[in-house]
Amino acid sequence: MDNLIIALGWAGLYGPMALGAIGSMIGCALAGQAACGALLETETGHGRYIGIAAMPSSQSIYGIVVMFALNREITVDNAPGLAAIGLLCGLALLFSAAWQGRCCASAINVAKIRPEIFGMSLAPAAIVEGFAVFAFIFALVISAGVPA
Amino acid sequence: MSDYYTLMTALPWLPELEQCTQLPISRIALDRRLTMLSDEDSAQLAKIEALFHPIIDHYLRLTDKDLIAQWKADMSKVESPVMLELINYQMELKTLLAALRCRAAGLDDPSQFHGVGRWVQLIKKHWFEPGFGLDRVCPQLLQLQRLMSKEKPMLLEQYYNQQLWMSLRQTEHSHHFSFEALACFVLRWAIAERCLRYDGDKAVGAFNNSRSVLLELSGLNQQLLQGNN
Repeated sequence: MDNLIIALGWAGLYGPMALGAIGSMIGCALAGQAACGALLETETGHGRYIGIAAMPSSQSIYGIVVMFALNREITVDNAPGLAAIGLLCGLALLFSAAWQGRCCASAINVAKIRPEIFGMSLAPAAIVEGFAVFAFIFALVISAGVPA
Repeated sequence: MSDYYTLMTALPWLPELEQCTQLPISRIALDRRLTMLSDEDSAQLAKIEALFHPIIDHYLRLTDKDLIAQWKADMSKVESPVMLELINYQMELKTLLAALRCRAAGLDDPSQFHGVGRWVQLIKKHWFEPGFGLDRVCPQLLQLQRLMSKEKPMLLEQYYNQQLWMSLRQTEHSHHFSFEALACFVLRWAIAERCLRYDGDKAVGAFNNSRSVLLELSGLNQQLLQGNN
């Protein structure tokens, strides 16, 4: 039983990083595909399409930071806490990155048609990013309460 | 899930039907983009296009009854329920138009009328009522009737196209980056292309008129006639 708890602790430690990276892969792939389509259709502004496509990569960075914040010697006492914080934060990062990718794809599609609303079209993606930041910040705050 | 992201953003913006003065992409360029589709999706799209924009010559020798049987057989090959609904809607509008035309042409026996969709039985039952008993159910009917009674086929066609356009655009906007959105775009493109072709015919007519007037004014017509004599 102890081994299982310890394993969960390790999963919680690496979870934010791995799940955040999975979310970023999905999000960047969706937005990247949309950016590639927009490159075919437009003559200018290619750089910003690629820039938008990279937006969901921030969740990986948040995951890395949370992983370092949670990094400590894993014991039976602190493993459940690490698992709960790490896995839940990781899931939040995964979903936010994947859905942010969709928002970015829509923003690319709209900005391609009307470049003047480029900034406004990014608002939904920025809002999703905001929720990822919530999950990230509060994971850091909560992690201080997990015994070392 | 991600198959249509590149393709959808590679398609240009289609303005509203009445504002569409030229096609934003040619059929050749559109077909080149559509090569990104899988074989299954391409086949489905071809079936949907054939149902939505049928080539009239293929159906000229069929009776209404046979045409409906053929249409039902073709419909069974379409997999997307969303697209099936749109094609059904189009056929329902066509059925309404056909009913109005048949009645105007003097068809007295409603059992001879053939159509498809939810309203066929009601149409037959209320054949002699002005709105086939559908006034409240189908708001488009009143407008169709009004335009038909004014004998303005061009306006009637425009209204019909506008209705289809709106239903396609609505579906396209509610199914982002999907096969349905793509199919709706292609079908809208075909409507726009057809409407612009009407304008092309008008332009040829106007050109012919101008030519006649100019030839008459310059006296070339008379010289040509004299030359022939």
